[in-house]
This record gives sequence, structure tokens and C-alpha cells, in this order.
Amino acid sequence: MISPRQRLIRLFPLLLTLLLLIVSLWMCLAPLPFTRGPLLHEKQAIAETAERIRKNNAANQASIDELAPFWTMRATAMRQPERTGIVAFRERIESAATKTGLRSRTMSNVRRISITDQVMLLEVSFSADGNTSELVTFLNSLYAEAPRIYWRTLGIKPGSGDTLTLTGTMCTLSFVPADDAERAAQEATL
Amino acid sequence: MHFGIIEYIANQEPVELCGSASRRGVVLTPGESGIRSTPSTYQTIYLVAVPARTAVFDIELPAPLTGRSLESALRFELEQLVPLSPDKVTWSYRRLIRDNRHFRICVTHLDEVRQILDKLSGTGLCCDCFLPAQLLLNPADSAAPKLDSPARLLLEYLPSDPGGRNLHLATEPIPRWLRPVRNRRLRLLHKTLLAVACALLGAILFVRFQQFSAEYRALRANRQALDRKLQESEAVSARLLQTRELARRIAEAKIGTASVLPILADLNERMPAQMHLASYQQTADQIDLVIVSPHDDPNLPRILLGSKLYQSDLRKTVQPDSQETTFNVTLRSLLP
Repeated sequence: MISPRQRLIRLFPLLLTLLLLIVSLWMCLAPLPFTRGPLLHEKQAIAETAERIRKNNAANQASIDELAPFWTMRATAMRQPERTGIVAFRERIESAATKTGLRSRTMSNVRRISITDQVMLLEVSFSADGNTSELVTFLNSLYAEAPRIYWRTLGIKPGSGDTLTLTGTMCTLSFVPADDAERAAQEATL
Repeated sequence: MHFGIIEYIANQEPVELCGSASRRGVVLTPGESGIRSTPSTYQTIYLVAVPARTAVFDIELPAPLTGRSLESALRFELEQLVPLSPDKVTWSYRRLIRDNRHFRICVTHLDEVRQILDKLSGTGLCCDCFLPAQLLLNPADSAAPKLDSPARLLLEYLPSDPGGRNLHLATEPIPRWLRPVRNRRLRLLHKTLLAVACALLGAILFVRFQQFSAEYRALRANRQALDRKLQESEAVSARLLQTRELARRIAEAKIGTASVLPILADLNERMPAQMHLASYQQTADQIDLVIVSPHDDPNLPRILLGSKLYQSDLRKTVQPDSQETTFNVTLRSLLP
């Protein structure tokens, strides 16, 4: 006769095996142990990164919208090295005046006002005579064609006869190409 | 409790006997090939023999000992008594009195045991333990069975020690292949189930790990892509910050404020036909106008106020010696 205790001892490996079998079946449905943490961590990181990207993009878009006038200014600005830019600026004004039939009276030397290493302002004082139509065409030419020329001061007064006298200070924005800016910075360092 | 006995007497065939022990006593019956066919029926199968080259020593220890320290002490005593290497003998011992001090050691040359086991191996019999009859001998009792009947010696002994708790086999000479295989079906079931469970668990773990690995790799790739996007976005932010600074410095230069034509066109459209512009002076975003009219026009402020290009501030002057009315207007350009 085998005692119940001995029977239990004999059955113990079988019970362990059954337990293993149950665990195996349970594993079909339950998640793999120790894997939830890394997945959760990755998901959280993804959510955080996505949120940061969303906020960053929103802020960037707001900045881009806010900078809309600047983009227009940059698109219509002069893009030449400093030396050739000064000449080109004078030529641009003279050309516009000639085309419109405006009679140029005075034009000062071009003044250079540096804003950054890459951006500068070229400024010139200018006066001319012409009729209303010529004046309007001239002003339109300065504004509509590139590089755009801005007025810092402008005065229009009646001249002799039916002519008008235009006096003012004109300027244009000039973006120095990157390699020129680097060269200028090196020269300044030396 | 059922037990089996294999009695081996020199130069005779081994005899198998079956015994059952209960509170009423021990009963011995002929085995009738029970040990051969159904060894699992017996809780223990004893091989009882009278080996030659066997020595028995009754030892009294100076202090009661149990467990490993007891066995170490007895081994030490044995080494003093037997001039043989320990790997050439097999020995067992028996507690004689419950004081844990009095023991009987029985030591047998290993070759003798091997001879007996060789005899047994050809018969298809199996056993759990080897008991030299000398260990079971009780010389104090003259009526007790003698060495010529080892099975009876065991039968006499078992009632006083039903589970054989006082018998200890210090060395185990029975090889594995000579031991009985019990519970074959249970073992087979166990092995089958274990194999199934292991295979199932392995397969499930493999599949689940593959799933986890794929998901984790996808998440990592997604995260790395998002990290790259974030870096790009931050780079754009940095460039925009520089651009904002540049735009601020350009705005400080106030160059974009003198957009003349749109304002002139707007004024030309809004002003009544009888009025004309006598002077236009603009500095930065401030525009000073002189508008001349043959007569006063109270609607002019309202007309100028309607523009989205500028804000107006109107001052009216009437020349005393002239029929004309002069309007001095200051506008603030709203154009970028």
C-alpha cells in the first residue's frame, strides 16, 4: 500500500508539469513579462516628442507669419558684395530716373550703414524734377522692381511751371552673399 | 507497507520474497516473480546477502552525534579500524541504541558486493539497497535467526525499525541500471506533459518575444524619426530666432515705412475732385500733407479716417486773403 503522502510525492513532478502547462496557456493571452515597461517607456517618449514637435512647429509657424514683411523685404533686397552693391544701387536709381524721364538734380555719395555682418543699408540723398506722371512712374519703378528702393524721407513740392520737385533720402537693403561676409569677418579679425 | 526482499546466499540463485509490514506485524510471502514484473508495487526492495570479506564493528562514540558529523566520525573510526582505502570498500552502519552514541559499522570489500550484483544482473531482478546480513545480526539473542537465513534476519529486524530509519548506507553500491523503475506510466505521462509544456512555452515565448521585438523596433524607429524631426524643428526655431533678431534690427532702421505710392494712390482716390495736394513730406512713417481746396469740406476728416493705410490728424487753416482753404494733414503710415 502506498500512503497518501507518498502518492503526493510521486505526483508532485506531474503537478509541477501541469502548472507549467497552465502557465504556458496563460502566456498565450497575458503579455510577456518584463516587456511592458520598455514599450510603455518608448510610447511615452514618442508622445512627449510628438507634443514638443507640435508646440515647436506652432511657434515656428507663428514666427514665420509674423515675419511675413521681412520675407518680402529679403526677397526684394539687393544681393551683391559691398563694392559692387554701391555701384549697382546708384545705377538702379539713375536707370529708373532715365527710364521715366525724370530729370535728376543731385545725388549724394552712397552711405553704408551696417546692420549685421551680412546685411547692410545703402543710403543716398536724391533730388529730381518731373511732372506728375513721371514722378508716379518713377516712384512705382522704385517700389515694384527689384531691388526695391525705400524712402527714408520724401518731399514733393510744386516746382516751376507744372513740374514737381522731389527731394528725399533713398535706401535699399543689401544682403552680402555668405562667402563675402566670411571674408569680411576674417579681414576684421586680422 | 509493501516491501520486496531478494535473498542471496552464496552459490545459490537469488530468491525473491514479498513482505508487508503493518501494525500487526510483518508477513513474508514468496515473491512469485513480483519483483521482476511489478517492482513499483514495493516501496523498497532490499538485497540481503552474506558477503565474504566483511567486518563488523560495534562502536561507542564519546558523545551523541547525528547527521554529517556522525558520518564523519564513523568514517574516521573506520579508517582507524580497516587498513583499506575507502574507495575499495562499501560500508553501512546501524544505530544500536537511541542515545546516538552506540553504532554498528559493517564494512565489505567492494569486489564482494560487485560479485553479488553481477549474479543479480542476469536474473532480471532489481533492488534499492544492499544490506549485508552481518549488519542485521543480533548476537545478544540466541534465538534470533542466523546468517544462513538473511531474509529472516531482515524480517526480525524490521518490526523494531519499520522504516529502516536506524539503517544507514554510507556508500551506495547499487548501480543505476539495477535499480527498479517505478511508476512507468506516471513517468511517461510526466515526460510527455513536460515535453508538451516546454515546447508550448518555448513556442509561445518565441512568438510573443518576436511580437514584442517587432513592436519595440517599430517604436524605436518611430521615436528616432521623431527625434530627427524635433532636431530639424529646433534648428528651424534657431534660424527663425536669428531671423527675428535681424528683422528687429532692420525694423529699427525704419526703412520699410516710406511706401509712398500706395498712400498717394489712396489719397488720390479718396480726395474730392476739387482738392489738390500741394505738398507731400514724409519722414519715416510720418507724412505731412498740405491739401488745398477752393472751399471748406467738412467731410474730409471722415474720408481720411476710412483708410487702412494710415492714421490721420487733420488741421484746417483758412488763409485770410485767399478764397482757398488749406488743410494741413499729418498721417502715420501703417504700411510695413
